[in-house]
Amino acid sequence: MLSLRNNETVSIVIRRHWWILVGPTIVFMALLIIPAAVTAVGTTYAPRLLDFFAEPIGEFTTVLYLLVLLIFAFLLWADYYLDVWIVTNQRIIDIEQKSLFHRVISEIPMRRIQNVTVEINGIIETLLKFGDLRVQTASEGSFIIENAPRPHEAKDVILHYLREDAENLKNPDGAGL
Amino acid sequence: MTFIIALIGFSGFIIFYVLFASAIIYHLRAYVLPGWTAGRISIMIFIAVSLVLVAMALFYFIKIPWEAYAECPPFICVID
Repeated sequence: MLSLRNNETVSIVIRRHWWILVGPTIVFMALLIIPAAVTAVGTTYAPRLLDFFAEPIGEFTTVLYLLVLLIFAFLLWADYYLDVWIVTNQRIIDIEQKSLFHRVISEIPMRRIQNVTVEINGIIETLLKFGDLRVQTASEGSFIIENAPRPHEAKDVILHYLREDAENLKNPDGAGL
Repeated sequence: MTFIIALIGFSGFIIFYVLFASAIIYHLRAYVLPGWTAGRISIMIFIAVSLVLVAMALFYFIKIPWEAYAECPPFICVID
């Protein structure tokens, strides 16, 4: 489990916008209705195919097919759920789940951040208020979260902590107040 | 003999499924913050649906007349 430092609080958690799940969900639903569609088509055009699906071996094959679909849907969900930016009052933790066994975890301390850019490109992105959020750092280059929901709000939060961190550096006695 | 081959194939599928599912569940438990509940709820739903489907697969697997299929495979042999 991820752990936070002392005096560290999570401000926002940014996941990609739900819109990016629409395409895979449509594909999943289409794949889910294939057995029912085959049965419906088989009634008219392929009675032997229908006989196959009415037998235990056909039902067994259908259940195995549903198990495969279920695990791929779960994998897709896990990939979406674990691909996340955690903005705390001290740093940004960028967890990028590239595949099941390939994960990149980066930490960006607030004081290293130089610039935060928001890019909203497209009609759907504008209507649903999501876009790319790019954080540029002094040493590690830039980090980007694609399709972040409400990127302007996220940018404001990051800049708020950035200013707070800069003030704490100027006045170390008042740090954390 | 057909039943044994089918049983080995089915067991292999279930073992692969359990290993793959365990890997996903491990990731969903390891890389989350304490307050995130959606991951845990999705794990429970996934396990419940998987158990139901595996039980159904086992039920249909037992019902299949494997030895009869060895003599008369579906789509190839037609019994009138």
